[in-house]
Amino acid sequence: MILDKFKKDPSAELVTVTPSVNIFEKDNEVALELDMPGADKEALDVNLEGNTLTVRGRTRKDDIPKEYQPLYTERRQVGYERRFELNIDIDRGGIKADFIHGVLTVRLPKAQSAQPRKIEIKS
Amino acid sequence: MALVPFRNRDNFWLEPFGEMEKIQREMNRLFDFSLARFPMGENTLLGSQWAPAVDVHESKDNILVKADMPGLKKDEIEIHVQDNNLILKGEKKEEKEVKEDNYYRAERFSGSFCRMIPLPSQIDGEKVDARYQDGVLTLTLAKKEESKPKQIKIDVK
Repeated sequence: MILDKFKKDPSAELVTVTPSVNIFEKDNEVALELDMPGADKEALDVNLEGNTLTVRGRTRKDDIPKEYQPLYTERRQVGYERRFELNIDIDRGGIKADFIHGVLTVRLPKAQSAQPRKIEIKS
Repeated sequence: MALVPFRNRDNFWLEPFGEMEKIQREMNRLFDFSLARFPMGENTLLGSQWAPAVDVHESKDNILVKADMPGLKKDEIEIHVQDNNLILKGEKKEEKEVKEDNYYRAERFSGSFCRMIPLPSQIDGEKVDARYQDGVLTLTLAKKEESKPKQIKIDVK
């Protein structure tokens, strides 16, 4: 039927949301925290290519039982995506990410050369 | 808060005026709910910067509420039921391990929030099931017996 053309799979055309982020620096690392409520942990993707860090994800589909009728809905199924340009040297092998309470934390350890070094002054 | 109309995609093309009705419903909802969101004395209308986005679904026996509240710990969320209102409160504490100077960006919300959600019927405060997973709070609230829809049998003689 011609109308079938319009019945797209809703997950195929997710609205992309830019997650809010906190970025802070410590002596030995730079950390990013991104709000991604409802994200499917399995679909999270953190990728560093050149100096571009890309974070992607999507929310899990709510499985609301059939007997329920929506009264109002502000939440929706979304894709998350955000890119960051890094301007410091990162120890690429040591990047860690975890996802707790809907917040993705990415820890980027600084490369040895980018870490602060105390220089002794000789008299 | 963004206004995101609910859309039933399956019937979208079969209801030419569906979108208009939805906009009307959204506008009604805006006027009905936005002023009621912050209980007086807790927050001024402009005082609270953030409130969780919520979905409310209703069945014959239950009301299901989902709320996005990323970054909170379980014990930082307070759930109250008062009359026909559900109140979600909480405080997200700022982590103090890093000095402000060392922040490049701080977009994520921190501080306290409060949201009042009017419920369509009376609920049994004893029968509330709350789950918190991946930053989403899911509440199943049982309706009180007396506010469930009843079928009245009429004997036709």
